[in-house]
Amino acid sequence: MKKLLIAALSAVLVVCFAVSAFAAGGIIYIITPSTSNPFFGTEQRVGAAKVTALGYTPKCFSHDDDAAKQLELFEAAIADKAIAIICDNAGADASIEAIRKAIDAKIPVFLIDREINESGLALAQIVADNAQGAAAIAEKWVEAMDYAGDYAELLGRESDTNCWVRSQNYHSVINEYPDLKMVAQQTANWDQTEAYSKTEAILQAHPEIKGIICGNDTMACGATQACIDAKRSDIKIIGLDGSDDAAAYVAKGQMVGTALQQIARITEMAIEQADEFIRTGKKPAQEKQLVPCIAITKDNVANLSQFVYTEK
Amino acid sequence: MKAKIFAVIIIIALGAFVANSAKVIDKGTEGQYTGVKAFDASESSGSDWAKISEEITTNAAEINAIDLNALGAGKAIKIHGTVSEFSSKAGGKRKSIIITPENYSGNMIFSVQLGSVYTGTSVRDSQTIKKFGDFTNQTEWSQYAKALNSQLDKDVVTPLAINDSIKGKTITVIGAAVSSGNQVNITPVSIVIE
Repeated sequence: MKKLLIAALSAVLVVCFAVSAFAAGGIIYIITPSTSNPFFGTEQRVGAAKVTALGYTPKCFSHDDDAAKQLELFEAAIADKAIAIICDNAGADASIEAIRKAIDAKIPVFLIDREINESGLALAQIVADNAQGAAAIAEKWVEAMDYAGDYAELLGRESDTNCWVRSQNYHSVINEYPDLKMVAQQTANWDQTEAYSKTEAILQAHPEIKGIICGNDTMACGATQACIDAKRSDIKIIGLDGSDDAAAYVAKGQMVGTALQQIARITEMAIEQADEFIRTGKKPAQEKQLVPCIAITKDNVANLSQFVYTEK
Repeated sequence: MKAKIFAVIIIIALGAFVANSAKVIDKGTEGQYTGVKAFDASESSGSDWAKISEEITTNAAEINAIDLNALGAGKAIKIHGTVSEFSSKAGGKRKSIIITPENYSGNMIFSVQLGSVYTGTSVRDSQTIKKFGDFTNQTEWSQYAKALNSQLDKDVVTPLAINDSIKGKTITVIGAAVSSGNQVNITPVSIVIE
């Protein structure tokens, strides 16, 4: 009888603990690059909303692409007894130390947007399929170019993996057509102002160009504005991201298109997987997960808003 | 005389230095020296092709049996009908046909790409033999999709030498499909022309 009573009391205590733990939620850190870029702002905005909707408390921070600052934020999360960290990391190698610290402190980490160069640490690495996205929008661009003509390329920051993934996959499509000739290739470091000035210089040196391919939308917007100001709206331009600024140019026919990285969806997926792990202990089926990009052109740009694509 | 001997010694020394200091390694042979083997997408796709082709053929759904607006990144489908159009762009690198299917009353247009350049990753994305996690990175995964497209061009499309004369013929195509607006784009893994 005594044993039965103890077992019953234990069961009640376990249930009470589970209920109070669920009711109390817990803190989930969302750590991203600077939110001055709307892409990363979306990660924090959508992430905080999803975390709150699932009954947890979000805490959002930016590491500003500084690995040391990122490490401090991970340490703060550990001190804060966070129950999960969602992170768009500050470097494929530089972030490993911070993530390892969190794992050692039994805090699961779910990475979004950027991979790290180590498997088995983060429970999930959910990224947009940059390679597929670049190839998809390049296919639209070669059609717009009618498969011929000189063009220029604006690269992102050359130390960034995505810079080369995107460039290689643009060229995997474009190089199939020998009449498309690249006459200039320069880095504009993902930056709009730099893209504007580089485009001005390229237009002066190579007035014959018919197109410009850009590693992201920020540079594509800079290049597009430079072409508009130079009265060269005939130039076919693409970017990659799916930002509202680029979408506005696409809608007006001033850009051929962009490839949407579904970052809102990616962020929600990471939080859903974190929630499932917290509640059930079930890990995501796969650590590395790719989310396809969507080629955005004038035909479907009306479906895009704030990095969310809604078929109408 | 001394100066001549000195000059000869210098030339011999310089020659020996150049011969020993710089070894030019041909592109693509680095692995012989580093032990690191470069990823070869065609090797991987070649060995997988038979299984992938069989899987897509087995899973192919009739066009009336599925929601053609929800094909996702790629779905195996089967279509039977009459070729109503043949087109060739980009100097013959972008050939395609339009099929008017039998027993279909919807408003979708069915286009089959015939290379030699193929767009999209629908064949890769409609198979389960290989997944992203089997590859090191996105670029290899992308190269794998491209290599599968090259494989089907070699095995399925090129031997048929399709040209404008195909218009009006009855055809059955099995392939991986995606949709955009009211168009279904099919990358073929099997073509039978009657």
